[in-house]
Amino acid sequence: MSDISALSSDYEANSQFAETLNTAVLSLKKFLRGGPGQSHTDALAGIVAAIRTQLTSATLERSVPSEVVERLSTEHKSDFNYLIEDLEAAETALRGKAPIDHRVIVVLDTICDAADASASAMFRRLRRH
Amino acid sequence: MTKLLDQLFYDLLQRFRFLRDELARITIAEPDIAAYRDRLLTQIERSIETVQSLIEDLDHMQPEFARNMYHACKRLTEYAQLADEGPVSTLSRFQPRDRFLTRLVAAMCDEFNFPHAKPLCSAITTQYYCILPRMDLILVPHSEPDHLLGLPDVYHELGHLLFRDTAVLIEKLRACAQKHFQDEIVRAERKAWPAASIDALRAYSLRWSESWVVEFGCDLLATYVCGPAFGWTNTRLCARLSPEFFETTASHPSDAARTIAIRFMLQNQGYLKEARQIDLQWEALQQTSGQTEPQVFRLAFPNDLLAGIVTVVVEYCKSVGILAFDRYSMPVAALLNDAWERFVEAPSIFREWEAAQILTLYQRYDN
Repeated sequence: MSDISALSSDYEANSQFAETLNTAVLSLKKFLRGGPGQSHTDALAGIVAAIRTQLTSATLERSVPSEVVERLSTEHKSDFNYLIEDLEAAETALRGKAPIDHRVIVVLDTICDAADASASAMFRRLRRH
Repeated sequence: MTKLLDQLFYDLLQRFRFLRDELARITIAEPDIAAYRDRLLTQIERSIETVQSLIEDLDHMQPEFARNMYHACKRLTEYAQLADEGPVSTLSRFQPRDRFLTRLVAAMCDEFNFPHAKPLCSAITTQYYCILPRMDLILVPHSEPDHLLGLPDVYHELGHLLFRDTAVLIEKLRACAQKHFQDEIVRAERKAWPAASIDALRAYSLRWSESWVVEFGCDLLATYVCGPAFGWTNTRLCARLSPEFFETTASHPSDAARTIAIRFMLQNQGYLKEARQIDLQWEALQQTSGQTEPQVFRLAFPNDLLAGIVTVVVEYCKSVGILAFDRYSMPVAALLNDAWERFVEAPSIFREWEAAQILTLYQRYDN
């Protein structure tokens, strides 16, 4: 009933998303450096695609926490179209249709930063409410 | 960068080790409470292994991994803090009234076939009833284990635990809300509504999808398994704590809308007389507080959508074996309903009966 319960649930969704994404990106970076493990490219492509959809259409799909999408939208207000282009290019590469280069990693890092900031902000709200 | 991360991870490792030792040190005689402690201990031991493995990674870390390592450290640090502030703190100060509450809630869970591990409960919070879903921990104010009228709110908090485990019901509720608003937006555009009204529909749709479905879902689950008592408790909570019955926030739909949804669930389950009584109480509350329904209220919370989500919750509960309130097979829920019936009938003499019932409950669940 209290706001704490709702905030806790929201924090958990954001925290889990940030953790899953971060682990997959770290794993991909290690893989690209010739390290062991999996590349997780399909899962990452799905996340990138979902973010682009949530950013560009009136869809009510919410597979990516809305706080993360809003943060990306706000932070890239001035270069929004470039962000969409970069997301599209990153998805194409992660689907195996182009090489995964430095630009793809930059896009993934940008999403990781937004996810981390959203989870951290919620965690803070949880204790300073 | 490596030096900073080294410090952060070793600090975290030491904190996790402390929490592990603290948990292991606490003497718990009761097997059910010890089982909760052991589950938490396992999670903390896994976290220690994760931190150790990340520390090993630091030795051959590439600069481009640093920020990811830092993010990983933050999530683990948050988990350590949640465990510290929540269950570790609770278990290290565990009182007989906490044990009683934990067992009473376990009995509630058994009655309706709750498909999730039973939570630990503690009567220590300044935030009314609340839950830390990741920790399976329900917190209630100090005096609640000695009173019956607020306890139906436990069922709402259990809903949050259920939704942590399964997204199925939430997705169904979202789909129901999305369909309603998509249809409404199309209709509004055809009828050339003002742009501001169509924007309002979009904004409501978003809030329903993002967070309101969770609160509605928890309320409706609570009404389904606890019956009219949850409706009475909701009205009581609104009377005591609601700043404005029709106000919405990003996380919570309006109390008025929640009350209507609860009434619809009671009607759906055949509690017509009780639904009417609660509705009369709600009307009296609105009149007394002088609050009136704003024009946009029905735009955000139309009756057909509220009735629709009731159907979704009932169908979901039936499909997964969650049992509807039954006075004859659910003694705790039945007691909470008896309590409300007696209280409404004669509030001035209620406490004596309530105290006797609490005593009986303590004898049954705290031995």
